[in-house]
Amino acid sequence: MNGALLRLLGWAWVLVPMGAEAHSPIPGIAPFYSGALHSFVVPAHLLSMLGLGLWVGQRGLDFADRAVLVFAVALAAGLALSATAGEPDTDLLLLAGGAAVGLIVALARPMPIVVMVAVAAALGLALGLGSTPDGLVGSKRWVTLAGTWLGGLLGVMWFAAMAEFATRPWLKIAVRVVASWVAASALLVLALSWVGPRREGTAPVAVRAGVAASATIQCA
Amino acid sequence: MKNLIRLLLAGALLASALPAFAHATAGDLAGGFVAGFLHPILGWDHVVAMVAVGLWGAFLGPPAIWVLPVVFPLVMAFGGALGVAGVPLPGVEVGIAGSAIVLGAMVAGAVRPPLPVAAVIVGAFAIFHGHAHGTELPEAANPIAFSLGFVISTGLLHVSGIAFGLLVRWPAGRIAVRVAGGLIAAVGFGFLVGVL
Repeated sequence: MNGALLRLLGWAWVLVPMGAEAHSPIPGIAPFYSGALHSFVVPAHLLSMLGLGLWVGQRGLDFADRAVLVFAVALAAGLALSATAGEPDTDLLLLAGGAAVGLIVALARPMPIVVMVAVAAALGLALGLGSTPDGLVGSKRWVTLAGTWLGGLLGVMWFAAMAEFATRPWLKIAVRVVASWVAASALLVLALSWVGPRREGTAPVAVRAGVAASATIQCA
Repeated sequence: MKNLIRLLLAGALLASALPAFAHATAGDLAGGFVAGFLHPILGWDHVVAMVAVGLWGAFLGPPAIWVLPVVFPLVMAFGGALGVAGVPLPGVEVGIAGSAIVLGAMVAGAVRPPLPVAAVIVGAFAIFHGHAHGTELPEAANPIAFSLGFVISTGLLHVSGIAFGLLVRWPAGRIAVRVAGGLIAAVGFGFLVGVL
């Protein structure tokens, strides 16, 4: 009897599958807006967007158009490829990029436009590839991706505009201070992702939960 | 029979695994950020030292007023990485208390070293503060949000110190800032000897 009961219990467990919620869109919000908010609620994405935007704005309008245009194209390409790329985890790349551009802005060292354009392309591609909406198919999926594209692009442009408008000395300093915060946060989490798995105990769990794949938010 | 039951149970347990919440939940994000934001604020040995960094920067004037608050988080990240890696750093608490004593004394004594020297002093103490925060990072619900929270919190404490430090423009304010530096040093000494 006990054996039969245990078997029954076992099959009950087997037959209660849980939904894969890793990339769930934000419930209660329309797909387009959910996509638009995506990059603002995923810390790794937000850090990279903020860092890139501050860098573009700090360099001034002369370079902004090329960098933003390349970012827009790369983001679109990444989002389009995300359907076939198998949900790659791009958070570490985004954090590394965020740390690098944060340092560049904090140090306020002028870099060649080629470097800025290349970084904008890499971050745009990584943002797009890492923004796969889970559980959505057909038109809803594409509408969500369109929202992510617009949200990401507006985010970078907005941060760039804030940095561009920072003409007073103390505002320029504020931009550099915020960039140092971006770099410091990104560097810390990168350190955790590299050394965490080597530590015993909780580190690998923390990496899995918050770092290795926080490409989208799940707000169930 | 027992083996079959064990096999079934093991299979059932495997199959009932919860979905991999690979992506942070809103609760994780908020919890991680708030935990990180509060971490420097809840320990007032951190608070007085961070305020002292801002005070000293304001006291030294440009460019120290912004160089020190930029240097601090970047070096703090290095200290945090040591903490995350589990690299033991002897005397972390002593270093944190020492930072309040030294930085407070610098303000109280109106010490004006060359900027690189001031940056090295601040950076050296930032390692201890970063290490203390970094050891908490692996346990955070969301490490990115946690690190963002404590870096922003640290920065805002610097800003509060800078704001108070701007009083040095007036003679009475200069005295007030130096007295504040002395109080910070005294609080640091209290932490060092275990009175606080």
